[in-house]
Amino acid sequence: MTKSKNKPFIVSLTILGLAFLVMFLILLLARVNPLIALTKMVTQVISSPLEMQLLKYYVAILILTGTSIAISMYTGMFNIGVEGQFIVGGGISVLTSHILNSAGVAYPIIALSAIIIGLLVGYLWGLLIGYLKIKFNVNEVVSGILLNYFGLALIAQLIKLEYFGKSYKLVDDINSSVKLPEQLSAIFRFEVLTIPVLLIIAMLVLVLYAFIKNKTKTGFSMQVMGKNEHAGPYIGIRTDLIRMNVLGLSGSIAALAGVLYFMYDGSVKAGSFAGFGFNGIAVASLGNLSAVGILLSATFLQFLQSSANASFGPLGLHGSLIGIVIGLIILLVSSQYAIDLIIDNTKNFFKEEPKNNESSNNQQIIETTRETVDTKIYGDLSETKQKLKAKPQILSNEEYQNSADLIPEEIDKKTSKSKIYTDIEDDVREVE
Amino acid sequence: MNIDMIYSILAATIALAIPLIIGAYAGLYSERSGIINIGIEGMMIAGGFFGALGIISLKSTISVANNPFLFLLIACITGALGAALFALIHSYFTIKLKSNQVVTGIALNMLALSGTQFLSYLLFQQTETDTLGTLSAAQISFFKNSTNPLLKVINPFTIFVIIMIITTIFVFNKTRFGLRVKSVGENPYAAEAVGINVYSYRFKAVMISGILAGIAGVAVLLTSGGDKFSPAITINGKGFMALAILISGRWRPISILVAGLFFALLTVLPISLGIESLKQFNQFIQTGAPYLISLIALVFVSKNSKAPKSIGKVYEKAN
Repeated sequence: MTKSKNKPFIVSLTILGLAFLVMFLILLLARVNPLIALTKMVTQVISSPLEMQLLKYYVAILILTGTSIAISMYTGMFNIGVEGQFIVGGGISVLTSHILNSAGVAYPIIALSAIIIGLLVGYLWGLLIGYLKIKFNVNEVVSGILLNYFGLALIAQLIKLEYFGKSYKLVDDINSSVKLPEQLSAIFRFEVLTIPVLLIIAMLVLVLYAFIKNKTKTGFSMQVMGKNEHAGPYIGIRTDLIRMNVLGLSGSIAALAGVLYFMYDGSVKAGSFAGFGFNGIAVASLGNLSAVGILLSATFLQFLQSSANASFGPLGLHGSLIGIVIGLIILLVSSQYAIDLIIDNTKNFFKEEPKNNESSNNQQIIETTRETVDTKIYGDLSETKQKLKAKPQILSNEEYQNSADLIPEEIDKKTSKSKIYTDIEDDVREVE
Repeated sequence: MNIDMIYSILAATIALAIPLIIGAYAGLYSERSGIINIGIEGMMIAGGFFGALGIISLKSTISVANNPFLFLLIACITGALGAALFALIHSYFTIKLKSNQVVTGIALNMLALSGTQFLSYLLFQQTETDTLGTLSAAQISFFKNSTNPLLKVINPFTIFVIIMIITTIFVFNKTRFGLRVKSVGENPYAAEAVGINVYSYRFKAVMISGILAGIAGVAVLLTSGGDKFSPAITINGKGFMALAILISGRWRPISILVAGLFFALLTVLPISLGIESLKQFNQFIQTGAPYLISLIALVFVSKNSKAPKSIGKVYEKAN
């Protein structure tokens, strides 16, 4: 995406403002007072402690998916397979926890192994996309999307746990969901001074992302590849390896988000996409791929989403309005050119009229100096200036020959040739 | 395996392949002019939704059972218009505002999905449209009362696909418009040097793409969608399968047809053969196998990709 020439923060604010404007318009069209809707959204979330707690968890997960996408965008690729990595990593870790639980392993070990397995599975899933891109030139967006849907179907099949007539389920229920014991999910709901452990993990990942991006050699290589995809080999970085590793890392962070999401819930149902991946694209783009930006936009967007889900029912609206807002944000982020236009026009609208005195004074000083310099070098130029101002006339042949504008051609009396040419001939004879 | 089973397999293949091929042709027009169109899925969702709206709005005044083809026409027109709206957004942002085409397409997908869900919630108080009445695949078939499943599947969409293929081959090879679209996709600067307005041809190509994608959405709705359009469920990724078919068909009309039929056959075959031990995996095969097949096909095809040369690159008029 081309960079805007304005400061990123202002660009993001403009985009948010435009998206909000459209949201207000849609609310008006739906015959809902936008200000009332807004206040309801805010109060519904702030006043309910349950909502605030959920908000903290969802912000953590959205930060993780946002970081995952930001890492891949920083390297010039687009990891849209986040949804698939989310579900596959989370689903497989829940399944292995289920198996370990039925084998009687202690809960903290299960929790740790769930995270590690999730990271590994996510890395492999992302590596697959990278490998297909490097080895077979498959566009990573198309393969990512196809793997999203495939992962969804895969997990939906795996959690059935009933193959060839034999049932592997511990809990005998009909609808396809694997439920984990409460103590296990309690580990993931642990809070330190009302800050959830999940949020701490997300912050650590964000700090790690900022560190890799700004302080390491690999981060610099990623930045180079992001700015110019062809420059890599010329400065000696192994683009293939970095591409695969970055997609793998992106996949493992997304899978970590999935693990935390499903373990917090204690169950996995693979009916549809959780939506954190798509919101993550907006988070990464709006935050301009920086750690602070991701933090701020994740908080804001999740607040928007949660408040809409909580309060839209009685208003007669659906939470998918926020989906429209997020789609608009992604649309606008990719068109920096238009945002530049809007920002410049608003700036000019608010700018004062430039004071004529100062600038015209400068102009006069420049002109007078120019004139004095010109007269010193060339003499009096007023005549030539008048001639230049005069329009060119169309002369007849006689008038043309009699006009005084021509340089009088000096003719040598002896040879009756033009002196210009005889001068040159003299020079030539001297050389010979 | 008897003749009946072969007929039913062929019928299911054609029924599945038709919307995918129309969607792939939508992508063909757009990508041949140099604009990546990942938003085919979103345009299909919009097409299906607005097609359903068209049917529902007239359902009470005209009887559906008596005029199935009229309703088909109305659905196609409204669906094409709805998808053309999204194509308008895509073309404006990619051509005029010079944004990244992939990101715009993805944003359009999300906009279409959320927008249609929101609209249906507003109109019907549920995240899917109301029932379309008795309009279904059986109704619009030309051979409604035949016992042969292969004849039953021949409906106006089949005729449309055949006409579309012939027209596309003719347009791209013999008409001025088609050749200019191709040239704009290969080297827009050379086309500009000859005097072709690159912006105008790209815009027209993307609008055609939107119309075709809308018709593909209506095709999904009417041939396999049941009796209502549910934005999140009816077109569950078929637009991306169409994109994969486009790439596997190497951006050529006949190859896309072959690839589409092949995909549909591979998807339909495991279920139709009815192998007992695989029956428990039916849901996985139905929901997951098409994407796996598309991915495998992409792996084989993308190495020597014959994409239009200037696809995805931002074009700015040189003077």
